[in-house]
Amino acid sequence: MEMRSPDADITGLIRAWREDEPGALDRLMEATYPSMKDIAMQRLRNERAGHTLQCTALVNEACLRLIRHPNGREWKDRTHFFAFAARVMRGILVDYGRARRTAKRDAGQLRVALYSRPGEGATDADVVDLNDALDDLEKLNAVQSCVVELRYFGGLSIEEAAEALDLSSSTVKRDWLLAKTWLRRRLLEGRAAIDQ
Amino acid sequence: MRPLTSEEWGRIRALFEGALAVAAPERQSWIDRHAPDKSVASEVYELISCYEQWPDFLEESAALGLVAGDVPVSPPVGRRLGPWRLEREIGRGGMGVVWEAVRDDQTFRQRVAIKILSAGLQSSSGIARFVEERQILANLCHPGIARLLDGGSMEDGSPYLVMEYVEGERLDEWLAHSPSLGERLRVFLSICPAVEYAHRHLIVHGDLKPANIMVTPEGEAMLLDFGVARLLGPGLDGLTRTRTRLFSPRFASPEQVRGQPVTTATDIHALGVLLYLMLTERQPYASGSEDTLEVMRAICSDEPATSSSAPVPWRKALRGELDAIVLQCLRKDPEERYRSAHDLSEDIAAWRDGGPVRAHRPGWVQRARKLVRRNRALSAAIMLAVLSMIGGSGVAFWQAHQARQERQRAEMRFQQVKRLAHSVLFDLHDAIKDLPGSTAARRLLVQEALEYLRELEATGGNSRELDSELAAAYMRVGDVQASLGRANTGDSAAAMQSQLNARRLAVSAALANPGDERQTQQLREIDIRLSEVYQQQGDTRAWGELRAEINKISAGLAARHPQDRKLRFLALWDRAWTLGEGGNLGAWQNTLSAARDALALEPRDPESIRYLARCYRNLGDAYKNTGDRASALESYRQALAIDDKRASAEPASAQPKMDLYFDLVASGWEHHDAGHEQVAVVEFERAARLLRQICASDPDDFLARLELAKLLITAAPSWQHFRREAEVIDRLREALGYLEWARARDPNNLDARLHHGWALSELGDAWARRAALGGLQASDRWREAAEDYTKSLAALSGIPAGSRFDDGIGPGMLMDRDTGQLALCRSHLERVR
Repeated sequence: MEMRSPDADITGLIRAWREDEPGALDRLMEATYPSMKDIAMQRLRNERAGHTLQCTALVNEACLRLIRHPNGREWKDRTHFFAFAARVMRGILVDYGRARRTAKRDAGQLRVALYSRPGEGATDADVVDLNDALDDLEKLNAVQSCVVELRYFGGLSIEEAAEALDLSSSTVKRDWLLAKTWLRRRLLEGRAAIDQ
Repeated sequence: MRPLTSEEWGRIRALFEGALAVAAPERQSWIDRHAPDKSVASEVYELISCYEQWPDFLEESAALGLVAGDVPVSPPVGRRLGPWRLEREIGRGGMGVVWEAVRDDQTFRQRVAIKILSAGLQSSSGIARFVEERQILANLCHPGIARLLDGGSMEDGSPYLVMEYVEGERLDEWLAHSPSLGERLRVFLSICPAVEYAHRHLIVHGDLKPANIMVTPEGEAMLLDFGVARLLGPGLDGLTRTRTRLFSPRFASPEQVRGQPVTTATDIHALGVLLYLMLTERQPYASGSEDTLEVMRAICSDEPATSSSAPVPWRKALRGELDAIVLQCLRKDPEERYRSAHDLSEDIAAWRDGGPVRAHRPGWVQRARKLVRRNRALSAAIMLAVLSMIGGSGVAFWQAHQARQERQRAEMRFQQVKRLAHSVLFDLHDAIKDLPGSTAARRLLVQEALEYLRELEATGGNSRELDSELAAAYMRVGDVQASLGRANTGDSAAAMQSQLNARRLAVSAALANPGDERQTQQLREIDIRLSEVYQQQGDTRAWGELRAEINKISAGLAARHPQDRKLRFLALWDRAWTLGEGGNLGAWQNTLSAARDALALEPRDPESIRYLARCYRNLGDAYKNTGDRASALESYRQALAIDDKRASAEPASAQPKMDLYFDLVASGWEHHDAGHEQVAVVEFERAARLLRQICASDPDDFLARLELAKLLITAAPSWQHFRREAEVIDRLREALGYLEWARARDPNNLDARLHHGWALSELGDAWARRAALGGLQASDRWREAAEDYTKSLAALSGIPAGSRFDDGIGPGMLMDRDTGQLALCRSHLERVR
């Protein structure tokens, strides 16, 4: 049986994804996510409880390790890189949120500051809930859920998200406003259901 | 919510967008007019009202910072912002748009640059941060930094900054005229002092690059855009703020790329990139590549080519020392870079002037300083190397010839070793004593010196001649072991022994040389230190007796030298101090005016300047005791201003920082009492940052850790005021960590014991407050509170009843409270059962 090195796999997967092969991003995630997550979790263990996770630092570090990879030069394409980073970020945050939930520890539960209003201070929502709502949104409209992933988890601007999705900025902006509002309402409903 | 079909969703999307396009008050009627049926209309209406209520939702990205936010809508030319009228757009970048504007309210005309920040920073936390930073930056005042004049927000919430308008060219434009090497270095050297100034104010630029530097027609550099600068060091919450920040990848340091904390060393790296660029007209990393990721990778892993390899006419001049200077700025490890912009500019100036580049040929004091700075946990081996360096021939000579000379006991040797010990005690010790991280080195040095002297004493010689030197040695040994207000290792029992030895020897030296006032002054200094040890141990009787003795000595000195203003001041100071810190308003007013007199004679004397600040602080305490809050705050403000200046003038010294810390706590506490919680918290936070810097740089500093613990306890009520309960608990736990460490290190230290009890008591309160909110965890929290109160009672029992904190809280009072609170916890726990 022919042995293939995992590096070759990753290179191939990145190429496939860049050529828009269906399912390539999912396969790439599958292949790289465990090691990226290890890096992230290692960082998280060194953080103290009750503290907002520094997403960029995590993705920066995790991706840099991948870039340093001999085949890292495959990451020429900026938008692809950011889309990938957004997916990784989402995965890491949600996994971490789930782990915390299982541990049922009051202190140190990972909450992402999802919204704030002047005068009220920051209010937190659980990132796991956001993830579930985003999955529901994907069933309604996959592009809109993608926009949220890129904007919120990937930190892309409207213009960059538009470039990544090959859509016009105005379309992405409209999708963004509707999608995030829908998510907001969904989360509020979820909370109301729990409170009752 | 029922599941929607994608068809329905498409309709909702169109209606949502249409409704958003009309003015808010008309949206509902617009929806009613356009929706096909009531259920779709109500769906859309709910979404619209949700959007109106939560416009910021998800706007602050989880990964903000990889890219800048949206570009803000540009206000049109001629628009007014406050008194300013926008004239023309002069720049646009990741952070926002810059306008040239004038003030034209008839009174006077002033030209400014106004920076309107991107919409991406508009969440409420972003704005709060912006306002906080604006305040800090407004205080920066240096000819090489464009002054921040004003700021505010526009109607849509975009914050804007009004800055001094700088005439000239951007550095990159200026470089396009191909200036000579000499001109380039001159402009670079004018950048360094501005960066150094900001660093002394604990502000890092974080984004130094040619686009942020203007060259004026006079050829001086001017720094723009401290927009991404943040206060140095971790906040009071103990987290190293690796907060996402905006930076330009080309000029980023490895730690910025990795998302690690940004420090002054980050700016040193950026200065290195700038210097490289100015000298070679190339980028040090991935030159020629347009790929941001490739640049970021290169910053973290590639070594830059030496600057002399660039094809510029002056490449030969770069070879050797300038190459080395540039590379030292660009080290991957921040610790290995120049310690300050000042050090960097000194080296460049030395090179330019043909002098020796300091790093290559240091004197022994510089080398010792450098060793101490670099090796925070100094090993004995290193100190031995330092000692052999100092003596040059001294130690080596002495040791090699010891056997041969044992029988001879030559006077020459005696004098030589005495001189060596003296130079260790005075020159070297004093050279490093204020450096952060030098506590362990100081202990080694003074002990070594003491050993030499003891050896000399044992081998005979004129022992009376040694008394005074030995007294000085013991006094310094005691200083390192435990003292008030100076870095020390926290061993009060040993300190007491050392100071008693010092005193015995000083008395004998003073008796042997009756006319020598230096001996009398030395005795006074030793007595003051001894009284501080008594104070730490809570021995008020011994303290009182010794203070009376001190007053007699200093009054005698002043009386014998009526012209000496310094001695007159010291006599008043001693008397006021004996009356109690802040105890007597009149005494401190007199002392302050004497301090001013003394300073007038020697306006630059560092000791006199420090005394003046201490007078203001004590005067503040005195006003506080009389209830005159305004005067107290004003006195603290004066003390702060002086110590601020001292700390900026000696950025490497720990002592001015420590003094500044004491001022900040006094002032912060008074603001807290006055209900100015906002100000109090800012001062407490700054105080904590200073202490954390000192702690981080000196693992042996007992005083700084004890003070940090006290501060964390002191600031707790202010934190609580802002309902940051979780942080209160974190901080109190951190304080407990230090206090347990301190108690283990010095069981006799009363301050540590009292505060240990107090911290536990506060922690109990914090849990009780949380428990009182109810909920599932309430009983766990009551239990937690009960446990802390029990521990507090145990810690406080056995402390002498008369001991008190500065503000009158004694152990008895705390124990009464603890007992009451404990009963409360138990009754709650009973009820649960």
